[in-house]
Parts: sequence; C-alpha cells; structure tokens
Amino acid sequence: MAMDNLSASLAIAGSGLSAQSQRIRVATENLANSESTGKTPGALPYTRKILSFDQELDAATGAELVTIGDVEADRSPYRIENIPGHPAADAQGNVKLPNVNVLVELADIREGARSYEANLQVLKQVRHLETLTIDILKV
Amino acid sequence: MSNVLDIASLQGRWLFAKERVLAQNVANANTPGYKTANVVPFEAVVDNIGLQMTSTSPSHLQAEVSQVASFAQEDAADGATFYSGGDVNLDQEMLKSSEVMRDYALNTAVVKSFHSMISQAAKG
Repeated sequence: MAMDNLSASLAIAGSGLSAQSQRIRVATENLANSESTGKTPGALPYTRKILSFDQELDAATGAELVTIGDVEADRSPYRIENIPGHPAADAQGNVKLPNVNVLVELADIREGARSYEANLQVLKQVRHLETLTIDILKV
Repeated sequence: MSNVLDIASLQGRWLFAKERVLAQNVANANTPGYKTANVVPFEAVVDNIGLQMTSTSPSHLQAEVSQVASFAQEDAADGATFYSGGDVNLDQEMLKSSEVMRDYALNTAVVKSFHSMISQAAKG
C-alpha cells in the first residue's frame, strides 16, 4: 500500500520526463526548420508543429500519468518575403517562409527544460524516501 | 508504546500518498485544464481514526493531537493559469515536497529510536 504510492510517484515522474523531452524535441524540430522553404515555385514551406499534453489514467497503479496528445500543424499564416530568384518564389517573387517564431520556440525549450528538472527532482526525492525507509532496518 | 509506532506508520503512509499527489501535480504542470490536487491534512486523518494520546499522570504535558501534525494545506491560487498549462505552481509543489522529505526523516528517526528502546527493554 505504502510502497504502491511511491512506485506510482516514480511512474508519474517518469511520464513527465518523457512528455517534456518530446516537447523539447518538437520545439527543436521547429527551431531547426525555421528557414526551410519549398523547392518549387509556390511550394509550401515547413509548417510549425504544436503538441499538447494530456492526462491518462494508468490502470496498473491508478496514477494520473501525463501523455502527449496528437502533434498537430500550426494553422497560422506563413511569413511572406519578396525574394525574386528563390527556387520557391512565385510569379511575383514572393516566397513563403515557415510560420516559426524562433523566440517562441526558444522560450518553449527553456520552459520544457525547467519542467524536466522539476520531474527529476521528484524522482530524486522519492529515492530519498525509499532510502529513509530502508534505513529503519539499519539500527 | 505501540501507539507511537501506529501513528508513525500512519503518517508514513500519508506522506507517501502526499508525495504521489505532488508527483502528479508536477508531471501535469503543463497539462491544459489540470487542477492542482491536494491531500486531506494529516490532522483530519488522525481525528478520523480516533487515536488519542492520554495523560495518565498530572505531571504529563497536555496531549494535543492537533499539534502532532499541523500541516498547513495551501489551496491552489484561484485564477492563476500558466501559458498552455493548468493551475499548478511548481515552486509551491517543490516546497511541499521538501516538507514531505523532512517530515519523513523525522518520522523514521522516531521509529528508530522507539525500536531501540523496545530492543533495550527486551534485552533487560
């Protein structure tokens, strides 16, 4: 019963770690592709990806784990710049650039790292609680 | 004597439950619409099972169970929401978590010292 709660804590913190690392991964993808354009005239550039967090009840432990919902495309408009001669330029010389804001992605990575650290801290503390429990035996 | 160990094990289980709720809050800090979960204060748990300390001699200190565990239970601040997240305050959760750590360390220390007292008595 008691250890049950501790192992549930470990499962929850673990789910938090993987959710946050996936978030950082998606933000990094957006960041890396912030200038990826199409190759043919009028082609669409890279589209920013958005992910959302979701709760999921783990049947084994009854713990409320955190999971990643669907990764979806950001439907906000693309940036348009006039670069005649670019492979992806249309008849007017306009090129569609990805709808990625580098600052927003950086801030998202920073927040993801902070949440990751918080989950790590929980893992550490649960381990400490287990050590204290075992120490009762070492009189 | 066994009452002390009973209370200690009860508090231990309560602290583990609290740690679990904290882990849940921290993991779901960025989940949209997630509401911060709380546990019932230990004081209420002790009152429920009716475990009372009694004074058998006038020289005993006044036994007040409510002082055994006065864990302040902060309620989640209303209306404060994070960007794309629920209403979890990470700093506050970390603070509560270190509180759990400290309480459990005290708890196991008390159990240990009572255990050695029982051993001493058994050895004679």
